[in-house]
Amino acid sequence: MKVHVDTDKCALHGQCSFAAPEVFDFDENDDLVYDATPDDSQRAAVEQALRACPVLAIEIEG
Amino acid sequence: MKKTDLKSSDPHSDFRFIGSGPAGQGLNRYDRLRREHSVLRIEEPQGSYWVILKRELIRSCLQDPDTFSSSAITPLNPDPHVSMIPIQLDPPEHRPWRHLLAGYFSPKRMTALRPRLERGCRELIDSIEGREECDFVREFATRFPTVVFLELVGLPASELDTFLTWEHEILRPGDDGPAGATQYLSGVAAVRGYFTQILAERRASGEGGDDIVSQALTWELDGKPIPDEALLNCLFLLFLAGLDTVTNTLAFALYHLATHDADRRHVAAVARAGLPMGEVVEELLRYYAIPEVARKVTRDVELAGHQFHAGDMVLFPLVSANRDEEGLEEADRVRFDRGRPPAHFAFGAGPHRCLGSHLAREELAVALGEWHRRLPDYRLDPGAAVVETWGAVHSLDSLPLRFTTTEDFR
Repeated sequence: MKVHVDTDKCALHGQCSFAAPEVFDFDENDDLVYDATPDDSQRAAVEQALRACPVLAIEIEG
Repeated sequence: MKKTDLKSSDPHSDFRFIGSGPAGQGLNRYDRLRREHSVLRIEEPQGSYWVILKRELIRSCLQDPDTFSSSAITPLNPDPHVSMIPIQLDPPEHRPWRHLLAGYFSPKRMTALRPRLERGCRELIDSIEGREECDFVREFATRFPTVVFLELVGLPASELDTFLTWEHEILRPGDDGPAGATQYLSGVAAVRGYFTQILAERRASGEGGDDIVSQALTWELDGKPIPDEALLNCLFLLFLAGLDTVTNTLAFALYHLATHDADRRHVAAVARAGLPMGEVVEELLRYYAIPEVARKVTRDVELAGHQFHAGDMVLFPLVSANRDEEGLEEADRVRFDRGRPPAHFAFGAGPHRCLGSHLAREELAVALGEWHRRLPDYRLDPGAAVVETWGAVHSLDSLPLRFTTTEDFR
């Protein structure tokens, strides 16, 4: 599966990092970093992150 | 009340955005309304507005800032003369501000704050432990989150009482009404005057820490320094949002636990075992969601069979979303065994979802843990009449508790 975050929408709410901590995290500058091609075992968590994002910035392909 | 009674007279002609009554009344009033309506039209002497009562409608509206603008965020004030930043900015202007501020309230930074929060809590509990009674609101809930917040922002904690006075002038409805009221304007002027002075002093001294006021002088948007007027509108919001939200949430949490023995004992057991307080915090946030936010409609749109017009005000009581039975089983009561329930809306939804949510969660977890580790046995003072005041936020004016020995409960 492929994950894409629309950085024009993302406002660093951080909800994805709680829903799918293996996929979404923040670096030392508090910028979002994420695994764009996570393992399929992460699917449920990423879908949870997609729903949790307050600005609907997360997209899933495949 | 029977349904027929509701239909024979207008069930919500006495609805007022601002009011007060016995504790719980303000939050609970949506429970009955939501069973009858998804959307309400309220006409009250001070203005007219819609109220959205269902979870999914509230979510979808708050996630649609193009239609539901944040230019006005309280239902009785459609044309505010103060524009708080970033809460009253719509996309795309909103986002760069949010990016500027996010780092100061990020999950990592808030986790690192935990030892400071624990120390603050313990100092307050030291002054209460061993006594027979206390006012939880005055002696704990208004002190704990505010002192830490003032440190983050870079304001002197010694001025807390002055800040709280200003904040009450702005947020608490006065006798002469909510908008344009003298005490409101006096509070706004005092806070803005204070920040104007602080910015000038910091700029002149050149001294800067990593607190937000000092850092604000170095902020840039699109490569340019931010005009003072905009900085003031941002600091003003931080001041308002940071000083009373956790205070009020803590007050309702302890009100609940002081009046529900089994729940109190559960929280005390979690605290005693040193277990994570997250599940307790989330359930109390859900059930006692204190903010009521509003938006201004930008274009004619139909919602749940109602025609909304551009310029209409719409109120979203977050507690009504959180207690909607269609989103959660037994949503009408507090349960600490929900596992991983669907997300609640105590922090709002959409681009303006609470910037301080990570701080709030950390503070609530520390406060409930430390309090119940040291002071697990208490109940509401039997002689107390606890008063809830409501409007843009729900609050408890005081919460007199009596400490008891464990034997008293047997």
